[in-house]
Amino acid sequence: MTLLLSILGASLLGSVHCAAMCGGFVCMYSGTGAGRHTGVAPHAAYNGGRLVSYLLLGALAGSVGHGVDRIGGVAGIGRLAAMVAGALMVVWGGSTLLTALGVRMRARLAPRALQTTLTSLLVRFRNESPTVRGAATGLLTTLLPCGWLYVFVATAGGTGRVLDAMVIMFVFWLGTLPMMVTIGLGAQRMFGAFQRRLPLAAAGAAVVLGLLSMTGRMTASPFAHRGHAEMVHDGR
Amino acid sequence: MTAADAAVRTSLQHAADVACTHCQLPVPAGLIEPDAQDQFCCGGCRTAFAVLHDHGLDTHHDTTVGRDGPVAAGPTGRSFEEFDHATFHELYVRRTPEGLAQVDLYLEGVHCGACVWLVERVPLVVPGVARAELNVRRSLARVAWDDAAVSLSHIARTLDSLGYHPHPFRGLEVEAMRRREDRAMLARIGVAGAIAANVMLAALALYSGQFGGMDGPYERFFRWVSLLLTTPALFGPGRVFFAGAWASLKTRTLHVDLPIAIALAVGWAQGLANTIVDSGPIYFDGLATLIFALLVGRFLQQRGQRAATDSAELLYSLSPLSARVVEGDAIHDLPAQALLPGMTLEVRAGETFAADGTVTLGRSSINVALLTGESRPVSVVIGDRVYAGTMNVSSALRVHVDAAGEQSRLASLLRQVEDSVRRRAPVVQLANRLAVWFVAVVLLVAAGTVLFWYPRNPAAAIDNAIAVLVVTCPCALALATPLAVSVAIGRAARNGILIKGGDAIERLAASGTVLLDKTGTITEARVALAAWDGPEWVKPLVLALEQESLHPIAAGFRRAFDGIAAGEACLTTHVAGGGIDGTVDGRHVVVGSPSFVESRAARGVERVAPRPHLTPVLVAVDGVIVASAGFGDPVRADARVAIETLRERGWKVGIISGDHPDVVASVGETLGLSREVCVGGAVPEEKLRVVQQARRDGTVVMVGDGVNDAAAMAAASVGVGVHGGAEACLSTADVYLTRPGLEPLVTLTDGAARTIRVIRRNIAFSIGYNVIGAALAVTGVITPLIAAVLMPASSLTVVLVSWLSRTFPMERAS
Repeated sequence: MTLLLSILGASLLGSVHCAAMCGGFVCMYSGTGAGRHTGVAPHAAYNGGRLVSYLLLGALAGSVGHGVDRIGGVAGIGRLAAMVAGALMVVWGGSTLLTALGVRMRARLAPRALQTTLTSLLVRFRNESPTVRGAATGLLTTLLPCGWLYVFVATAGGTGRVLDAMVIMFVFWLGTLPMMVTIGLGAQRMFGAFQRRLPLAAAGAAVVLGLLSMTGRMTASPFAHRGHAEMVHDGR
Repeated sequence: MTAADAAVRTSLQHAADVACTHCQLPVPAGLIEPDAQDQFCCGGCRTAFAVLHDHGLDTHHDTTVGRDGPVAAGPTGRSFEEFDHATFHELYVRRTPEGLAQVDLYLEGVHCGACVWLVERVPLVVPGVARAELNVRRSLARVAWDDAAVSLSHIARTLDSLGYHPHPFRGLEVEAMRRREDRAMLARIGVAGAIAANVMLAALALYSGQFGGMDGPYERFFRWVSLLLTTPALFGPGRVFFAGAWASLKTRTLHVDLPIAIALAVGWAQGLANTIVDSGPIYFDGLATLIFALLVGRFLQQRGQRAATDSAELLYSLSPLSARVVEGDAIHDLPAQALLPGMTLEVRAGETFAADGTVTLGRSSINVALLTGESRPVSVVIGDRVYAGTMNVSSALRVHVDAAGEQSRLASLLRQVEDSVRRRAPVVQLANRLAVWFVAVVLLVAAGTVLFWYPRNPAAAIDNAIAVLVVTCPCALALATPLAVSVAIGRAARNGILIKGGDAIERLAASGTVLLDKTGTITEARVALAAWDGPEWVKPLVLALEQESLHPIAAGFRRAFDGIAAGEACLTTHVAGGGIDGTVDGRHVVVGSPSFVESRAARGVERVAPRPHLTPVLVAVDGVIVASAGFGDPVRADARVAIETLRERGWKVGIISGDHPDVVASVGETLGLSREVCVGGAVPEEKLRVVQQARRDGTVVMVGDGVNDAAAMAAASVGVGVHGGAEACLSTADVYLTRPGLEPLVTLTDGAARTIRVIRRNIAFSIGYNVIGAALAVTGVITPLIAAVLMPASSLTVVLVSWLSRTFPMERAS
């Protein structure tokens, strides 16, 4: 449970940036300048679409993680998935901290093909109703190269279990919900000083989570039931 | 504070100073790019900004910063008062549900995304305008406005002042229907694609589970997810196949949708059963991908087949929108549709006639090139007939209207064109004919498979039958032709050759007869000075006299004598059909046709023998003829070589022109063509007759420009419009050559032949693959799963082969 709470906390923390980065898409699908009311349906559709995509990503990550664990098992390394995931998170968090300190790096663009596909699909849906647009946007914008999202996908993969991974993504989604709904319904106020510290806070959280993952503190499963394979992994 | 602390603090402060262009949060110091206008805090924001901003999807960025205005054509300064006329509103203006008036306007000068921004700002600039939306691809602006608050002419003047000259957009219903069709199809593809992608994600999980071992509950979960995602794909976007199969059964014809629908239905049913009983294989990912791939293929086909039926709008822009009607002492503008026989029109120099009629006042010369192709102006006096679409060159005329709108000669010519176009549109291609047989054979084989295997191994019977239906999907066959054609058309376009449809390519592949129009096709359509017999001191005098004249011969003199310092002319008089007369630097100068000049001056030079294919012009100074000039239309530089190459490839070449037979014959002679194949003096109806006669011997390719060629081009097997051709020609031609000369024609025929070879190769591959695939499926070597993988693989191969084939040469600068 502590794991899930920390994920929820981290997600709430970082959701300010989620709202900022995806606010443009919210305006786009609701077809209005932010602040005008289009009803609840488009926003429900958007967040529903996001949920579906996150869950599927989580499932994929979980099965990949499971596979990685198997490979690790063959090689004699336990919890390989958790370590790999943790390492990825430390790297991401660390690079963010370094850029904050002035080390030069370039903010990467997604590959051109992905961009064009995403754009053309979004443009196609432009003439549909806001609800359909919202659903499409929600499903498609998970394809953006958002480091923060993929930190959580990595966390999910690190559990090495499909259902656990999906639960983690669900909790992540829950954490983003307040902010995304708020920006959808028009409240714009961001919190000044907090805003400035945000990237550092998020990066710091990622590093901590990554370290926890690598040192094996993130294998607490939210479910009581464990398969035989997991028991073997934990050395019991 | 240590130095390190200070450094951190400074960098943090800098970070606090620079905000991300997208999310407005601070940009980490290490990501600040000093030279970039936009700064981003992460890759996600950079990408999101690019996606939203570059395609105008954003509404919350300020778009005024740093935008360059589009380079637009200059405003025409017209009043557009005909836009307020009741007839105009009856024809073009609709009412929206909110009670606003709405009109679709075709805008000239639209060429880029920045135009969208400009046009869509009109509501901000003109009070009373509710919306202005611009479709850049069609140059179509839809404007909704409150007609009590502002007039349409005011809106039109505003658009004009921005550089976008507006015309009303005809063909509203067809356009609206097309758009609806396209949108529906694209939405279907989008949904199918999204579902397929998500099903693939689930399938990936299942596959890795299969290899690594997955617990029962999870596997069950994914199977149900796949089922729940695929079912809407089947009954939503996939519905078209079932509808097609049902229609096929009702009409008792074999349609390619039938095996597809059967495969989908059986595959889904089996998957459903296996998911419920929780054992046995499922192929939902294959089904979802199949639906998506087939819809894409169908879309490509539809696009390709929407060939030369797109004529209406540009054709109608040939005749003017409005005319000046004389009623008693007053003159006012009326829309051209409102003209009726019996009205009197005033047509000034430089204007186009809006209706057919008889001259009642004035004399002038008119340019009838649009209808007859004749490059020399024809003089008209009281009592002569004039026709809609032709241009009044030298002086104002009053015309009594005899036939207007649909009754005019131009309109009937355009109707002929449209009829020919409609008759030719759908060509049954080889692949489609094969497909019918294909379907029959596949169904028989599948049935045979079931019958063969059932007594031996019932489970295998269904599996093998599904494998047969899935692996032998005709999409490779159906894709083969349209794909090769699309690629060839794309490559040709980059070469400056615009081809409208695959049927044109098919017909150009085998040799037949090529009929070339003379003016503008073989020649450069310029009246140019070809011969000059006279002293140099005469040139500045001639130039001075011809400075202001609109006559093509004056233009020819101006081009030829460019750079010579001209004097000042005064007291100039134009005489229609004769020439020009005036005083230059105190000397009396006359330039014009031999009869005109000889009636005003004495013969000074030896009468030069008239050159057969040149228009003679004499120059007299102070009553004495001192020089003679010959004007002609120069033949294009590459014409002879191109014609020889075509003849080598087996094409029969001929010339058919409205120009004088002797002129045509002499041009043909310079190109190595005998007199029999050079037909001159042909009016548009005569050209049509010649083409129809030639068609009895095989393929006829008509190459021309100008409306006078349009009917002949539509009746020919393939119509080719040439660089600089008139708008009507462009809409009726199957091919349009943007580069001047006849050499692109050779490239076109070669490319067409190569494309047909690629198509044949594709069809052969498709058949071969299907035979082998079916054999493997029947014998149970491949499972439906492998079949579902192989089937798109075959389509991909066809795609790759078509893509990599070198039908037209690589890009050339246009």
